[in-house]
Amino acid sequence: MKRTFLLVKASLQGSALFTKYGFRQLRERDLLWVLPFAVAGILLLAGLAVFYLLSIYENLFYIGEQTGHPELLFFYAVSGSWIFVFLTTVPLSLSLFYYAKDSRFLAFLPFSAHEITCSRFIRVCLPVFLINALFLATAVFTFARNSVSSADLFLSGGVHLLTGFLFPASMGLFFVVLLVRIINVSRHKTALEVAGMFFAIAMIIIIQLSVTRSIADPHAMKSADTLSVIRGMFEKLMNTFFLIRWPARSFLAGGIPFLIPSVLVGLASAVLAVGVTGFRFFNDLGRRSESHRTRTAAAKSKGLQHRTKPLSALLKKEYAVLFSNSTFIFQTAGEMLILPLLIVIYAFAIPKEALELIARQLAFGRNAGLVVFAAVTLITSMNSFASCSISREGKSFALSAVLPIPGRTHVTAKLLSQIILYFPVYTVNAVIMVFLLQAPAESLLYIIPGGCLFLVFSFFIQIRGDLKKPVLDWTHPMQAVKNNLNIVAGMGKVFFVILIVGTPCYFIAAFTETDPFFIGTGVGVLSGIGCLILPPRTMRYADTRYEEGMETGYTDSKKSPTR
Amino acid sequence: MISLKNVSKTYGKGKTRVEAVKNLKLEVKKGELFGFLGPNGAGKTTTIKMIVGLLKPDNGGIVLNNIDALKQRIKAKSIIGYVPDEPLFYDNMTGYKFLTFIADVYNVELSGRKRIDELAELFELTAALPDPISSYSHGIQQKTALIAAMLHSPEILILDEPIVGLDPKAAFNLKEKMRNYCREGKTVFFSTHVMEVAEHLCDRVGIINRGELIAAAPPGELKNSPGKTNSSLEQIFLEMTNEADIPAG
Ligand SMILES: Nc1ncnc2c1ncn2[C@@H]1O[C@H](COP(=O)(O)OP(=O)(O)OP(=O)(O)O)[C@@H](O)[C@H]1O
Ligand SMILES: [Mg+2]
Repeated sequence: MKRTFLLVKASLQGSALFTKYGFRQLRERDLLWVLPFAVAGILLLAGLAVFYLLSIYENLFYIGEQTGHPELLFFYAVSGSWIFVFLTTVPLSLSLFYYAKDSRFLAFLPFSAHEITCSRFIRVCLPVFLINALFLATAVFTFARNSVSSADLFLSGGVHLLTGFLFPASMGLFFVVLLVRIINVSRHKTALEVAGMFFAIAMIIIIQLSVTRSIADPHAMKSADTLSVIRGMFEKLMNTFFLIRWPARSFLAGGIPFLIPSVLVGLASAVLAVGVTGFRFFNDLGRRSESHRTRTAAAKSKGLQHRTKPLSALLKKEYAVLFSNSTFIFQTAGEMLILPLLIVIYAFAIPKEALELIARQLAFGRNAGLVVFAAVTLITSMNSFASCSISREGKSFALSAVLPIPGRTHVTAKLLSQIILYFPVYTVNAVIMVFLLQAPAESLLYIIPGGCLFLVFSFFIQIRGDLKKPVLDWTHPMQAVKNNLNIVAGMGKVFFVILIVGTPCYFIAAFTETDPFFIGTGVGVLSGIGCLILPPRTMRYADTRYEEGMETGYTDSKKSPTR
Repeated sequence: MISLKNVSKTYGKGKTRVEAVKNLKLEVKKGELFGFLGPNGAGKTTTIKMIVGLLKPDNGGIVLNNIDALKQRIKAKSIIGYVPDEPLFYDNMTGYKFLTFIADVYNVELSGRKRIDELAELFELTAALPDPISSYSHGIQQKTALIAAMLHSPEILILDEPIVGLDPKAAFNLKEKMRNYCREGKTVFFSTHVMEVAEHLCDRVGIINRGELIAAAPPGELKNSPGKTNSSLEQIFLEMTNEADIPAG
């Protein structure tokens, strides 16, 4: 056991940000200022979650009282905790058990497979403990506030705080082991991550909708038959999911008899999960290196039969970079869908009356088309560049730089990839917004071509900074997405341009009788002129930068001099 | 033919300033197999990166087969095949996709693409090519990089420590391949830390230490230089790089 904790400690020291080493690294990179923001952000999120849970629990408590099943509140709390713990455990154990670099290294040290899996499971339990605590503590608080609290409530609360996450975490681990033994996880890593993230988001939205829909207004459900319907539904649920019912009941006065089996189930499942994972653990780890032997030589390439032009080969490479990891995929998907997502979220979150009020406020009359033009252009042009930046190529940029291809061809491929991704996005968004703001349909005649021209223009504004100082020495894709000042600066420049063009347009539209169609077309023509002036210069610059190799590979500060 | 004329490269500024390559003068003839030796941090990779166009020399000139590499960059790049010191790929491409990509951007004819399969056969890589490169072992990545570099049968092959990580059979085949290349009148320039390879394979070796070329001659000639008879290339190398240390340290 002592050796197991040694492993836990080592693993924590190796990864956690909040260790001495983490601090030192942050200080060396002058990034200590990030910490207060991170802490504040986490606190804010936790605060929001607590607030949200408390308001739901309040309703649940009320319904529970009404239907004669006071454990309803805890039934929901335990299910919520289990679902979230399960969802967290799956990616966490995948990375800690199977993707962690040190797993293979540990296999050479004199540790047994079970010592390793046990220590990893404890590591998984640390964050998961907090999730469980969040769900249960708020439930206990709500219950204690609204009724006479028994000693059993707090006893059960304490015990479940320490053990409640064991069952769902074990199930998560079981799921992962099953996954690892069925498919080759290192081969389908990206696909798995993306599927997992989409699944998690879908789950959260479903839970959110079902909770808000089913309990929207408890006070309206006073009539006797609504209550009996709910009671029937709930009893059915409780009988099906008796594993959740036991812990839920144990919180009530006299519920101790239910406490013992639920704790036993948690402990037993944990022991079983760690045991099963440890069994053949080294075998599972070793599967990675075998992967290339799984297919036969029969699968020959189609590339031997047909040939593509360099430009389309480069375009394919752009997509290969884009799809090379889940961070990039998610970021791009998010940027493509940001406007529809915002609309959907607001449509659900804001009550109908408020929506109507907003709609009345937003009646822009004859200038609605211009508002759509400005808003959609702003959102799309600021968000579209990151997906095809040079920085994304990272270390593999050296591959591009040694090719006998002029810089302008590389840049053209990037522009094409942006056009293919974002012209459709822009068009769809424009149509949606024209519909929502009830702008005249014919305004699309200048919105679509004008916006597409501006998108091209903004691409050239933004790529210039990236050509000048690409961020290529990142080790985690997140750094290329978030820490990349080129992208931020590029967005700022585009915003500035839109501001400069938009301000006079605003005054002309608001205070003169000029036809908005005329203004919109004028802006479109301006963008077209921009596309004639800027790209040739940027292309020449790209040629020189690619020829020089952009001094790739390292930054000056990274490698310390040996002399 | 590779010709480096007083090439220098400095990294960083102020305190972190490092003169990685100082006034390097070097001629490698057509059809020559040239080995580039030097201790860690001597400037081998820096020199190679300048030749292939990943770094811009601070001053000096580089001529490759009568092409001024600093002026006609694209033309120069098209006659080079380069294997970097650490393999670089687009991770989720399969080996085949990657090699097809390389063939496309170098405009390799369809008939020339048979070489993919020939080379894959030679390096026993055929079974791995349909898999994503990220699942490859280091050696297999190295082999893929070798094939990518030779795919367009470049006039000049530049390899940065190509033998590291290869199994004995692949190392043997690579050395054969390099020899054959030179017999066809093409030029091979490679850096290595393995003295035996340099001694037995190369027509000529160059030794670089602290950014300065301290010798360039056929291995036999170096061994028989005055006062150094009958020693191995390894001993010569150690002596030379040590001597150079004393006045500088
Ligand atoms: N980007 C960089 N910034 C600062 N210094 C660098 C950079 N790249 C290399 N150096 C320094 O330049 C010198 C030469 O490095 P180089 O990589 O060319 O050596 P090398 O001969 O290839 O060594 P090795 O045998 O270890 O591969 C070293 O002192 C190294 O620290
Ligand atoms: Mg090197």
